[in-house]
Amino acid sequence: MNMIPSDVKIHPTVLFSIIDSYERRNEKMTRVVGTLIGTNIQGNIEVNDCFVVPHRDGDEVALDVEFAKNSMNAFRKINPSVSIVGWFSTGNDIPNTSCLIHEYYARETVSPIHLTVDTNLKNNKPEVKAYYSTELGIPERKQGTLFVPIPIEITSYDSEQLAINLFQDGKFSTKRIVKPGMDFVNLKLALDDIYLMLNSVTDYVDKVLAGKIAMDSNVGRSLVKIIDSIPLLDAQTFDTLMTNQMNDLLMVQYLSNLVQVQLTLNEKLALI
Amino acid sequence: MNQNDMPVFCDVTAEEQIEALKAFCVPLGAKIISGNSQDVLADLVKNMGAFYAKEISETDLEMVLNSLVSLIIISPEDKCAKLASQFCENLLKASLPERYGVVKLRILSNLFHGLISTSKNRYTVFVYLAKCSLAAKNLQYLQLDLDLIKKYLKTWQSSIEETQVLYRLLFEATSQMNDSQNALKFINELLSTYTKDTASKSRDDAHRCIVYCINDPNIFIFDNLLLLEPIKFLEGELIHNLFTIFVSGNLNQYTEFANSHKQILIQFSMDHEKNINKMRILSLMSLAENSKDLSFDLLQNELKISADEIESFVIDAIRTKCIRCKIDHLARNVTVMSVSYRTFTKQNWHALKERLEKWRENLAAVDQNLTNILAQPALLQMS
Repeated sequence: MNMIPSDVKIHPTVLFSIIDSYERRNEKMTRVVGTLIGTNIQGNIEVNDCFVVPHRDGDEVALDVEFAKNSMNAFRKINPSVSIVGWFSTGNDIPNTSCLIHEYYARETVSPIHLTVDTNLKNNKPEVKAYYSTELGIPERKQGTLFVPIPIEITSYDSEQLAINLFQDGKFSTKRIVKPGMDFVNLKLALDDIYLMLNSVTDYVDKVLAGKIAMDSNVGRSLVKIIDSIPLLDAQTFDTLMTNQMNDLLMVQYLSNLVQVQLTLNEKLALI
Repeated sequence: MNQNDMPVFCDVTAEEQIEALKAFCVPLGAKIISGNSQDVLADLVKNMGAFYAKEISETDLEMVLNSLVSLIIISPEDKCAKLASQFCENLLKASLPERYGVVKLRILSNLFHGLISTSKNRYTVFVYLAKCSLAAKNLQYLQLDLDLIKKYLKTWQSSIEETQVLYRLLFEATSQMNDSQNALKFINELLSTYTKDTASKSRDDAHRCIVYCINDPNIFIFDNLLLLEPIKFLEGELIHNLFTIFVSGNLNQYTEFANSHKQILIQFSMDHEKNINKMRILSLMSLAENSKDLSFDLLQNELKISADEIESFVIDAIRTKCIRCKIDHLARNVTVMSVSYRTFTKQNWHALKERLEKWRENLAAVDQNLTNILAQPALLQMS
């Protein structure tokens, strides 16, 4: 079976943990390294999680192998289907010492990948790169290692995406604090988003009709496809539908609040 | 950024590496000159056939060739071009068993990544990578991201001819693998490289494009190709007429054309039966654009099929994702829910705008309702 990595999908939680662990590193550490956990299906790698492994850099590199093994066993208890797919290191390039760590991981799993996350922002952004290693030399005498880059894609589950969108909202707030809103508030925000997008789309169509933008029939077709995929209702029916749903929802919310009040009251009375 | 994106770690010096390769190569029957290491390297690349003349395992071969790659990428710029192109040429021609095809691709891909990213040599390697992918029927290591390729071509300052060679190869590789979307993308780019003045040279490419669009069973919409210079250039020719029928015509027009110009179908080796099938689906799309309810009688009449065939035909049509519809056997009717327009005219844009406006109004109404609800904090604050 061909296990040579051909592409890597990374979940945002992995990148978050890597950056977070870099922020919390010990004072003298120049970088952090750790194990990447996920699945390797015929070279298509998906990284779902990771953990930091203590190590010592310098002239000689030392990795706490015992710690790595124990942590991995703990992870297997939670989810037996995942395995080690490789390892990560912060930094922009691959220093010599990385070869030794890579050799350790090559013993733990078939064709491990190596992920580098540039936490020093050398090119003004946290560049993420992935590599797999291949050997060079002549038969029976290995003389070196090549780190071949592999394309990366950042993917996320729906729930992860939701959390990320929320985090992004905090980017411009001075307090740097965001709170998940209530159901209705979220709904309203989503509506506002769609409204904004619709505005820019309508704007685009207007420009096309005015001849400012060249007519691209493929764009037009894609837009029609989107509109076709939602049911077209007139305002009246839509309103009734919406109000009914909304009334139900409000009723449920009202009743649950009532129950909550009742319980609190009960607690207070019991204390007297 | 003047660097490569493939770090190499070597335990020995380049000279030792070359000596080791030579020592491995000579017993296999190759005559390698002695001299300074650059000359030896050149000779090794020239005679690299020796490495795989006798049986060698995939992993071993990969190791040896990787070693060569690592030496080529560190050789001085003036020698690098010749080494790289000879290496690629030898690898492409190497007659190895089929399962070694993927090894070739990996090696070429390594060489590509190992070369300095602005180096023109990367173009050479990319072309060979495309050729090898074509031969090995494997697109795994071939970069197909058009934006990235355009960026590459710009940094390499490739000429129009070079660009055309590359797009043509990428088109061949993808169309061979039935990757219709990408194939259409590359042939489109290829034809876009021609201008009004050079359109006369594009005849072969334009013909291939038309034949491809008509023959490929997965693509139905290609009206934007009509705007390209090479296709415009063919205007008035039979093949152009045929293409226009496939863009916007119907089944009747096609059969009429095919009856009077049988030779052109043979000339471009098209299959009449397949064409008819495709025209049926295209005609159905045209019909669906004009009316949301299509009776069985109308379909039988327009598409020349029997009543029994309608169901399987409609299922085939839905499978193309160009149309969404339901069959009502009792009313002998097909109800269309949505259809991709074969051509997208100003009229369609107007209709699109109307529907967008309507959607926006509805949304505004919902938004208003919600604001009203949110304005009553008494209901919400307890939670």
